[in-house]
Amino acid sequence: MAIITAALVRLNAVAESKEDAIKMAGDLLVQAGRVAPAYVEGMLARERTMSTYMGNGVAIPHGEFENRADIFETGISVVQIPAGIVWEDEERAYLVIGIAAKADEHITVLSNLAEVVEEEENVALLVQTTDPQVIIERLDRPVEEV
Amino acid sequence: MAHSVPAASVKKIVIACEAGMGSSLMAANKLKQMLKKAGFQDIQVTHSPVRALTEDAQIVLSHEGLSAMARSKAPWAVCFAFKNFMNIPAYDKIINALKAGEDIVED
Repeated sequence: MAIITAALVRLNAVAESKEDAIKMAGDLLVQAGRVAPAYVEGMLARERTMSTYMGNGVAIPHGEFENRADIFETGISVVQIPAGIVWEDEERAYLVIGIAAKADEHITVLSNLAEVVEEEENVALLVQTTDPQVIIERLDRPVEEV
Repeated sequence: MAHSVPAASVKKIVIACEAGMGSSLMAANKLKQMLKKAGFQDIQVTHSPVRALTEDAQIVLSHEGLSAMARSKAPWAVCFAFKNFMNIPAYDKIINALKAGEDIVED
């Protein structure tokens, strides 16, 4: 099964809070059958202990070690929030990437994401697109082995 | 006495986080690229949940919120803490020490 599909991408979302954004990312994973609803609680709990903000407008909420049992299939969801949502201190998140991983099958997507986060322009491209395929292709393209 | 490891004996560096499924994986990727660029592609870089660290981890990097746990789970390792997964100052310190052939010494 593909790690990321159109059903796992939500464009042009408006979030009222960080928690709201995490729930959106988690609900996509639930609806796509990747995780049990309890996993979303784990994502919220994890965020309370340590922020998953990665920089340049990207956050990667995911569950805690114990929540691995609530994952059925590895999946990654993307919530695009053009207006952004305050994540920590002065930082706003515009791309909220929900992660549920059983093993390391998602290494390609996260390697791509690491590249995207490095450059503000890359993030801007994905925050502005109106085509979910642009996001999917950027995050799921083959990466050079390092 | 601070923990240290001689440059020539570094074989494995581990980035540790809580669940081992997100942040540490992204951070490990960046260190792999930096090591490759500096010509140290033979050094293995992996990611792991802090609680699952194994004895072959010579250098362990973890978020400051987990550094006490990293220290207790890997008492043998050279440990570094950082604030931001995408901006880890210890990366430069490690690579500079490797290039100079010096010991990598814990902060």
